Amino acid sequence: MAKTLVPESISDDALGNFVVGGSVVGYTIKVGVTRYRSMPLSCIEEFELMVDGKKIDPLDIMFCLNGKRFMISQLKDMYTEYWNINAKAELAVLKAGGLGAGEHEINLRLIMRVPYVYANDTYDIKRSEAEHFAFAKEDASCAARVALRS
Amino acid sequence: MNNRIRLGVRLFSFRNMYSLEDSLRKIAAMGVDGFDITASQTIPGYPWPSEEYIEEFISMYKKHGLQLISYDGNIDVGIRSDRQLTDDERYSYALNDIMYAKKFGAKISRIQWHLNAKVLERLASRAEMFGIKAGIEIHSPLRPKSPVIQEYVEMLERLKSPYIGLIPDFGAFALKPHKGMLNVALAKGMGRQMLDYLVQAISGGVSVSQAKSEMRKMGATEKDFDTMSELYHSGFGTPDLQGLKAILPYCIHFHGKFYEFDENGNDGTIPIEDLLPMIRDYGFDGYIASEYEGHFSSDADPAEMVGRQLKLYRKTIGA
Repeated sequence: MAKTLVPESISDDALGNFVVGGSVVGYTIKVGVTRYRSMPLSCIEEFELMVDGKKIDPLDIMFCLNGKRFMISQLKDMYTEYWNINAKAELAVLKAGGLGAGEHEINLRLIMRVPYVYANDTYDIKRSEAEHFAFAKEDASCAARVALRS
Repeated sequence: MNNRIRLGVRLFSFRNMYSLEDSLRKIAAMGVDGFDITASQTIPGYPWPSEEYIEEFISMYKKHGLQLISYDGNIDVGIRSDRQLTDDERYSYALNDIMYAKKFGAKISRIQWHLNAKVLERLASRAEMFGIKAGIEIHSPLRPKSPVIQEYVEMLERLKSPYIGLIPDFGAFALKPHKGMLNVALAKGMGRQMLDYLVQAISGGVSVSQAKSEMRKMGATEKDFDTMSELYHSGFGTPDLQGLKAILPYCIHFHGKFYEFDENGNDGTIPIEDLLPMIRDYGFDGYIASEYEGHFSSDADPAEMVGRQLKLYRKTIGA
């Protein structure tokens, strides 16, 4: 079976509390880029977070990277923001009281556009034709069972 | 004829499995003095890495007695969700990579073919100003004779600038699919019969649309079409050696792509017995950088694989 060949994108210390003004208002999940190279955020075509089997409303998620906080709906326009190979994005998820200590199941469905590979794989093309091609997409999803320590 | 080929290693081969320091140590131990980087894979902060990082990176490779041959950028023409990049935008992304190639101490900047010939022509004087050779990679499924590559060749013939050229990847000359890829296709659920058909179709130059309609008749699933796409992208069949011979005057660098060795320890997929002597006898004065890409289907240690392949190269060209 094909291997994803990326460093562990959700590590054991991925979960934390989302604290604002001393109150726990949710939880945070650190995620490393799930492809072999740094990816522009604009290449994220589908983004769906499930925690403990429950789909999370994108309006409850802030995508934090490079010192900025993005709405999920903004990602498609962020073509100057790179999710670097050595950087972790932090998903800050609103949930009254937080997630609670113990193990949790994280499933992040990510479909990424490969911005330098056309979907029509053929060598017999002219430049004028290439301009009309769609790009290849890659399933860059990741999942893990992670414990929240406190 | 005298051999002027020098051998190097593409860091891509290691897929970040070792630390940068360990990677460079392993490369130096292979008896080569040069390496390439795929900047988006290796360099934090690509496409705008920090000056501090650049300084650190340069002192690290110098410490190991290595030089950076090529700084490889990406032409992400699909970076925007609403449209492809314009010619001016492609120009600026490529120019940025050429500038960073210079900052990193590289000699060459690899540019992906989506750039297009008109834009490369416009970049020639800037590449000259930076003292960097900018080369378009000929990567499978493209071949030297592909129309998009021939557009570059016509321009290069006309312009005759030593600062722009071509970088063929040996993967563009594969005779057949490597065993690992076939195993992956089967593991993804493609039936043996459909796989055999596809291998024949791709080798025989059957178009994607024709292969698709044939596969539909065979009851192909969505997953089968994904596998088909991967196989077409890898490209194989009768290698375009005549095409390569014709473009040798414009080649500034080579990627020595390989996937696996056959039971006799030879590269059964890439015709290196044809490629290497042709390049040597032309008098090519530059590097062939070894690139292992068998990771998806093998647990072999990449550094060991690269070391074995360099030995095979040395044997083949008599160096």
